[in-house]
Amino acid sequence: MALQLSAALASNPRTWPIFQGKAKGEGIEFVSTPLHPSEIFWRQLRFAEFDISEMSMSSLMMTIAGGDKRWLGIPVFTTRQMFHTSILVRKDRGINTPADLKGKKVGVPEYQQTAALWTRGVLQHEYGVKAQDMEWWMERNPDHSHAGATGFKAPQGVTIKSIPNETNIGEMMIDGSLDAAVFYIRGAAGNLVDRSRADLEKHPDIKPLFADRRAEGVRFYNKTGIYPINHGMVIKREVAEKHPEAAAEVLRAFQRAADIAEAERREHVEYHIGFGLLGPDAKSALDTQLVRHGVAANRKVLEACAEYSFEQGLTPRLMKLDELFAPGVLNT
Amino acid sequence: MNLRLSLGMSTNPRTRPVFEKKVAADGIDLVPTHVHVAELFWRQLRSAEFDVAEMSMSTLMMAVAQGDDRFIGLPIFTTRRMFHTAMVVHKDAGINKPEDLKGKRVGVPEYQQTSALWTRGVLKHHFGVEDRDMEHWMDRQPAHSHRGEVGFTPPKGVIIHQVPGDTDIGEMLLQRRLDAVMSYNPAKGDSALDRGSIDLFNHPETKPLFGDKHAEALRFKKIWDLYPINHGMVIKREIFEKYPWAALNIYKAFEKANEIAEAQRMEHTEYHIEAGLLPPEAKKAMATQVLYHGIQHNRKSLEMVSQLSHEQGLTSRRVKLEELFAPSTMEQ
Repeated sequence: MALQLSAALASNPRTWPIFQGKAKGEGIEFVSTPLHPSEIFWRQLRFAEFDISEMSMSSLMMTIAGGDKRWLGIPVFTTRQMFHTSILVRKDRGINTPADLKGKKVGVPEYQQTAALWTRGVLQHEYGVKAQDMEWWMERNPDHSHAGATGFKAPQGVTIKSIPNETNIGEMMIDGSLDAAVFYIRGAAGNLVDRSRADLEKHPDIKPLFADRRAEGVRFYNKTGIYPINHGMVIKREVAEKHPEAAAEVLRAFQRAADIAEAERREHVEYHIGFGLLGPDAKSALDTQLVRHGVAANRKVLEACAEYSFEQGLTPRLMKLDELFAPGVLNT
Repeated sequence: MNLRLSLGMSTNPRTRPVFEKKVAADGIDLVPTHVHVAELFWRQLRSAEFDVAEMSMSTLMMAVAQGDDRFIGLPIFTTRRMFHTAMVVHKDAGINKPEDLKGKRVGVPEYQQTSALWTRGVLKHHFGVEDRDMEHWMDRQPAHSHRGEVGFTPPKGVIIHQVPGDTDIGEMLLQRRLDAVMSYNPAKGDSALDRGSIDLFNHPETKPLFGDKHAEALRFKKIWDLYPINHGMVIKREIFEKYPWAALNIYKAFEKANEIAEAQRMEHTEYHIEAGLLPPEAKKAMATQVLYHGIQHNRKSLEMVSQLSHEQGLTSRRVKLEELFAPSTMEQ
């Protein structure tokens, strides 16, 4: 009988084939729950509910560095984003360039979340603005935070204040008690963790730090070759140890799912190409595979993540990739 | 209790949400089967196997014109293409432009298939190459063709030969017994009708008639501002008459499926836009909806099929759209 693995995943083109049972591994069977990532991480770190799940790369590094032995990583990276381009600022605070963030009050859903790690890393390495230069206001309260679940303490020199339970980043941005927001998450019904509800993107007092977000993302990608990963996958160590082939089979299933997503992307744009809305350059760009799983294809981005984590005091030492991933999937 | 209807159709981004049960038709349990369309039409015409099915527009018009009233159309058009740009010619046939097809031997899987109807229509109206200017060779054998089911007599002066049972149009092109092939669809073991399995599209001895498909699509749109439709959907008339509400309920389910496909296209291409592989103009093009269901959006394309069908002698008169589609769907 196949090994049943309970799985918590965010829903996107690279996980759909898993939910639909189109992509499978040998001898394993997923029982999948689609969940918002914030909730996945909190439920996993706090209650270890699922055999496998997406996991915040930053939190995974911190838990392993902190001696938490419950998890092993699998190099499956279904979500990425140019996180730093999503910084929002109040229009009346004179913030026109990243350097203007110095001395400002900055809201963040969760200080240790991977999106915030990347944002701070880019602010520091590209624009010379360090975490210590800003005052941080964190929305998730200890009961519902990954910090609460991983025992995180603010690094030396960094001020992290807790946003009172009766308010949230969205409200504080609008009433002017915050100057900027990093990776604003507008919670919705079904997300148990994030409290903000305001639509800051459309609010007249608020603007993006980078007026042309896309151009800034492209500039960063072309310069560094890094397309930031926020989530990896974890398997419970006890499951991986009892079934040593399981981690590799999970990876294989997600590789198949990624192959399906590659093919589906081409199908989805076929009419736009056929009808001439997209030219030959766009076609060849769309034929390019951008997301790959496995350690080798992602070494650079993973090492940058580990470096930023250490630099920002989230981990006490520089984590090595072979500490993070299950032995059976390290050479992938 | 819901009505239970069998449904035969091809798989593509706009039918997948129905296969995956992400959308449902109110009051109906659709039981979908994936069938290669060539086989599907033949099975449907021969033995009316499915309650609801994708159907060749050309063949539907022929059947209706001949008084076959087993089916009634639903304006659901999940597939279309610039069919004429798929023409393949032998490199030694001296064909460098469409006009060079005059006097040549041209293979076609099925003379009456909608993609061939469109191809001949473009050759005639855009390039002055009439049907009788070419010698047509049809691949499908009478026992397995749509023609076998819905016959017609070629107009005066049009020559249609039958490809012998021991060869196929792919082989014949490579042996120089043919000069060009239209609507070629190599058999991949998924259709009971098509025999040739040679990949003519990537063969050293062949070339596309239109080397720059993108330029040709743009040229085409200036003359005919439409996106050629090949398939619609049909429901058995007896079911429609007993349950008239089923037509619009099914239509609405496919409208929802189409909306899902629109959203999925953006999700599928998000990373390519964010990382800058695609320029901002491509994002705008990508966000444009090109495929709509309903009569209103597709009238031009449907009326052109009717005109070409009559011109090419497939139908003895111009079939009106009102004769083809369920009356309740005509306003959509």
